[in-house]
Amino acid sequence: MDDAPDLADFVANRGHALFRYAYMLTGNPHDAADLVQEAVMRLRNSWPRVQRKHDPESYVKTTIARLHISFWRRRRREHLVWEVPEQPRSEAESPLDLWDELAKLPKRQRAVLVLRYYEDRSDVEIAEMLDISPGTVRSQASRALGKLRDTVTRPRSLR
Amino acid sequence: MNDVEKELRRTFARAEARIPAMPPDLLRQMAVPRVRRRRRGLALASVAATGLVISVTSAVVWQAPEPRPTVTSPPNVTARPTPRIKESRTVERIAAPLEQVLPSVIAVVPRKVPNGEAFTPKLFTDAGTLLGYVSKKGYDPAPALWTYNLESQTFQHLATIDSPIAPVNSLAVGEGVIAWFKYVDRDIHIMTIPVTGGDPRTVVSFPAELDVDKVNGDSIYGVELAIGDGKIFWSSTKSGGVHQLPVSGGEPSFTPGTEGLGLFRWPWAGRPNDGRVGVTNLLNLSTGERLDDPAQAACDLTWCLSGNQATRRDGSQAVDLPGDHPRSLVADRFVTISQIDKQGRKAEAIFDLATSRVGRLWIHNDHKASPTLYTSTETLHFKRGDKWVVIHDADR
Repeated sequence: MDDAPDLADFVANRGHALFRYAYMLTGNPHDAADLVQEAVMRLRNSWPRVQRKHDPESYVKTTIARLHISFWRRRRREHLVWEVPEQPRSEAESPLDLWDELAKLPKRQRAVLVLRYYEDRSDVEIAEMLDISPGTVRSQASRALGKLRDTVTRPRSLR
Repeated sequence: MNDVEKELRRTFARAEARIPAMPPDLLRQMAVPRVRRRRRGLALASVAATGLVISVTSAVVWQAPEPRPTVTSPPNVTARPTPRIKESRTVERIAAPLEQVLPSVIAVVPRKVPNGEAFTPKLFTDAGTLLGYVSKKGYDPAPALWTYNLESQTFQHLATIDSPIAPVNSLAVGEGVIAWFKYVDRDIHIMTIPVTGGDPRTVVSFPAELDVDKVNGDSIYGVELAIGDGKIFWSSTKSGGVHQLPVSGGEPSFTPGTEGLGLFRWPWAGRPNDGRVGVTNLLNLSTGERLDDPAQAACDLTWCLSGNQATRRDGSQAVDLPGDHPRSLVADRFVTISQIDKQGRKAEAIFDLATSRVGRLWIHNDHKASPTLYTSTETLHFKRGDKWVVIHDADR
């Protein structure tokens, strides 16, 4: 029951789930892997305390969400410089997919949507994870859904 | 649910189906202390996301997985053996739900008190009464203590508290009172109310122990509390050492022989076990009895965990646990374990050392977060719908 192997157990058990969650937040596997690794590095330092609370998954997911948002703050300028090249879109693509639209949302709004609609967490849980008030969760979700709704209701031919 | 919410869920489901495979070395890298990909990887990854330099990232971002010594390793990790990622053992069948296997240890409690505020369970004041608190998210200047009676299925408001109460704050019960502490102006105040409710009373105050941290803010250390033999006992979660005071009031005093020890469960104090299960160097505050620690095991009073086995402290019995990753030993009988069956289904389960029976809490769904399982020395609880499911030893 050494705490380091136990952390390894946790990572072995939940690493894939953490990676999937980080992928939903970031939209790409590179940032997702970076986020997961950075969060686990931090988890290592606090593992004895976190393990005692028996809440490592929520703890590391909270860390991932917060890291993601803070990376965005630091890296925003780079993103403005590196324009995302226009991807050719196939006319045959049938199902409506909001993935590309999610990429245009501010990171915090996207995080709120991932936590609400992918993780199925309550607004109160999301508020605790992102360290914002439940009111801010609702307003961020509402703004993000508003932007996506424009996409859903826009005629397909104009997209 | 409106259209956009439905589309969003579908989008996430589709995205999940096309997630690229996790980099094969990532798991191993994460499991090895202090081996991290260079920060440069982050910048490259962000560029890669634009689609400009995809071809070079796989060569640069993923470093070799072998552990390397680094000069930055903190002393507390350098001496550890290299952690390994263990293969999980499979079970023939995931255990039946715990409420079917051991209904007597399960209490189902509403998550809201009658006025609609969220109730957080803490501990049982007797076999049928669960004490908890109600506190608004963030700063609540007036949280409240409530109890829930399992038989009558009713809540009772015990007291409103005049300062925020954090979830980690210790509550203790005994000798007809409930005790907790609050932190005000760099001081710890130990408070009590009668177990049936009433106005809070400060029984003793003293300066809190602090760690100064200019980056993340200071850490304030609280106290562990226990009540028995007509006295209230407390120990700092930083430096340990057990102090005591009569419940009826009087002068606080240090309990001889408890240097460095923290309160565990009345009447026992011990040395915190570095984040592992249980404590070491157990001392009975009532009788002065001391317990020896078995080697290579983490122990509660009677039972120890060692690998995937539970053993009695005196070595008279060893039990193979029907699952992996025993993380917690609660109430000296409940062990949390993970089970995985041949179809790859994973479940969180409880093995009860008192009855040698196992019951599951839930089956993992990789597409959905599992509930958080909160544990203390005496109880486990987790959310299920609009209820708390609380696991406890009703005989104690």
